[in-house]
Amino acid sequence: MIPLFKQSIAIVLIASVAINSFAEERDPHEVKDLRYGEALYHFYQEQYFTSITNLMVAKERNPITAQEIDPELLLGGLYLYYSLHQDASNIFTDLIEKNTSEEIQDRAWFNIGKMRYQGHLFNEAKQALVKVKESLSTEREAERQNMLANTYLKQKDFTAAYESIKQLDAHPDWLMYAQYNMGVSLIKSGKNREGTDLLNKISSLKTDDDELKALRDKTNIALGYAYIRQNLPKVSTKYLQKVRLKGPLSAKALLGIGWAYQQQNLLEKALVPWMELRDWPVIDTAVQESLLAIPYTLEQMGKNQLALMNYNYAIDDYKKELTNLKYSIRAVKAGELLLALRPAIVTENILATEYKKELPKSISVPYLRYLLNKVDFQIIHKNYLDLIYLQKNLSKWKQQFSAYYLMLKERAAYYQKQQRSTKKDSRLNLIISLKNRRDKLALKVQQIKQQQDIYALATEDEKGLISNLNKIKKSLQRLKNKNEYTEENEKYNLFRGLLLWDISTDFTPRYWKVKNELNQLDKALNISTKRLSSLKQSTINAPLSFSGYKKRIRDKEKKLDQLLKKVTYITRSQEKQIEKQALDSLQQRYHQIENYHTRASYSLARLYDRLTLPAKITKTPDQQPNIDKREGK
Amino acid sequence: MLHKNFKYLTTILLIMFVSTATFAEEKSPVLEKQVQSLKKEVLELNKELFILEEDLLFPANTQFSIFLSMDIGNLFDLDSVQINIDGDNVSNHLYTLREINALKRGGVQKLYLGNIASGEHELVAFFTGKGPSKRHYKRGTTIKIEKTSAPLFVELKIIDNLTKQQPEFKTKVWE
Repeated sequence: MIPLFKQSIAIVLIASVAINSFAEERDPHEVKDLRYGEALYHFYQEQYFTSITNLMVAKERNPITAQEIDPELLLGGLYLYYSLHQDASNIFTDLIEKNTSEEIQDRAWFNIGKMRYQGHLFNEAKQALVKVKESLSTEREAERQNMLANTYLKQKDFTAAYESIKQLDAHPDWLMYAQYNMGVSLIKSGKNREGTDLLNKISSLKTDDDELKALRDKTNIALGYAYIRQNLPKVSTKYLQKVRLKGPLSAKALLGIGWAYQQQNLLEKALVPWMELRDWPVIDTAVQESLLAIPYTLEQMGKNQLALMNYNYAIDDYKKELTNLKYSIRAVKAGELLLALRPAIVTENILATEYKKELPKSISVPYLRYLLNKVDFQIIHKNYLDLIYLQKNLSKWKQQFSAYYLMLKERAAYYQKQQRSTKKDSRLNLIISLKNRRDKLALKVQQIKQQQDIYALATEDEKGLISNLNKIKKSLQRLKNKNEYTEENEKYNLFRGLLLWDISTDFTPRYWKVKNELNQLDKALNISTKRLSSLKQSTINAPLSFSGYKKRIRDKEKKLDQLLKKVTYITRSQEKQIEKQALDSLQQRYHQIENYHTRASYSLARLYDRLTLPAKITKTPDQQPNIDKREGK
Repeated sequence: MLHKNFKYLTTILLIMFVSTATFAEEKSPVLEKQVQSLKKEVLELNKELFILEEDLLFPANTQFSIFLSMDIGNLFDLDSVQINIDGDNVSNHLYTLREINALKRGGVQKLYLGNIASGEHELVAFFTGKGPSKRHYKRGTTIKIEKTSAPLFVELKIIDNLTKQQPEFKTKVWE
């Protein structure tokens, strides 16, 4: 499987380095605010859109303060992911201005430096990166030195770059890449000896790592072609032969070996790698170049018939390739490339999934591999994918609006219905009469206590007995002059005394029982009062759940409609940009092959002329195929 | 691996800017700026819509959220969580490896967002997974909660008790 953009995987990295540096240094987190924890939960799952939404909402509602600057750093990193450089810069600058700890300042300067570096503002990047002191992790520090080295190289300050590279000794991986960058830069500046010395350190690198193997191949190609340019073909061959036979640079290595032999006038030897390339796919520019180099060399060797034959082969191959390119150009114009690049499933971590999948099935894609690997194309492509996701997100919100309006309508209808039935409900007034009755009762209990009115707390049986005793008393009063009732009088007094004794001794417990019941009544009334108050409050608040939202929803819907139009328009512009870049790239390839084709046709005609009219032929200055031996062409 | 990739990226960046004279000087094209500004606008609107929806669907006086977090999480391999409120099942969640990793790294999952009436409620959470001896493990935890007019947040925490070598399931009500 060939993952899409395998060669550079640049954009995923551009997008994720800032936030990953954050994650690496801060993992594991102590969560003191649930909202921050939630943002982290999505962040760790590469759901950056939800994560940034969580942080932005928290910031708007009630900023997270319990996590110190962590949320700000995360938000800054996420802004960078979405290429919102100004917002990210504001956050990091703010952290610096807040006079935070050296560690935070270092991280903020590091991120600002990296941001500027990615934006190709190398001088500004250097100014930020040099402000970092000593608190970065060793890994981040190595990255900083690497960026610094590259900014110095950009300014051709090789001494300063070398000083930064020396700091990478403890990080062999970083060191290799930095040395490669510096070596290539030195050679391009004409400092061949210094450049080749550095590149030689990578040239024979022993490694099992595929990426480092690829770097070693690149180094050997760079060295090989550098020596060809310096007219040192034997040295060149030594390096070109180190390039792996099965790799993306093998064709270029074989082509270079041929040119190195050619330079030494070892024409037969030169033909060997080129003839090998003849059976390779013509899509490779090195193969295209070798197609013309073969007959040219054969002609030099005096093997004119073979040269004629191979010029014809080359012309045929170029024609086929031109036809293929025509189809590809037509396909791109018809939108086939966009169809291939458009993700089948639009998810939140669309970027990660898109860059892991195989190259899209498009007839133009094989010709666009170089373009697809270019960082500036990948930036456009990332923006395109971002826009597709944002468009989907807005469309999802758009669908919600009808439900919101319906909800408001239902809420209003329900409220009115409830209000009507509540108004009719007599139970709402009951509480007032209950309260009055309770107050009367409480007053009575108070009087009983004050007056020590023991009869008031008598039981029904006792009250019956008292009533009977009162009747007996009346009867006895009527018979008071008759001595024969003395015993009855004594009995009456005894019974009355016993009854009063029972009631009066039980007065306190009875009083407290009544008091307790009164308290329970108070509690029950209290709950009812609260519920009534809550009901009244709800009646007041309920309209807020629908009346205030209508305008808010309408405003947002209007804004959303405008943004959707804008997203659609800019997505289309982005698509046009992708198509334009693809077409430019294909046209460039087309012209290059057309040029080879013209040269092959001209050479063929010239050779025919020479063979048929030998006396008249004079060697033209443009006989040699205009082969550019510069690496990277 | 990532940093290696990044180094490769920087290599490519460098190759490009040393070999293309105009590349570094290239300013951000108009379209790119438009895209950036649009992204900011969409993010802002998304935030506003998120707040609007929350206000509309989950007003503060009834809003109730349940979160789940892990402290280390080595003694319990979480498979699923079931949430019951007052005897009604309101949420079930089956975990992916990606989610478990996010939890172990300190992420906090919003497991449930809903509305409940003011007053006392009972929340029961059942955790299913594999315990320390890799045997099937099901635990429940119950908490009585009092809903007032303010939003209510409850955090369910899975904690490794290293002394007992057992997972513990705790709850915390956030102010």
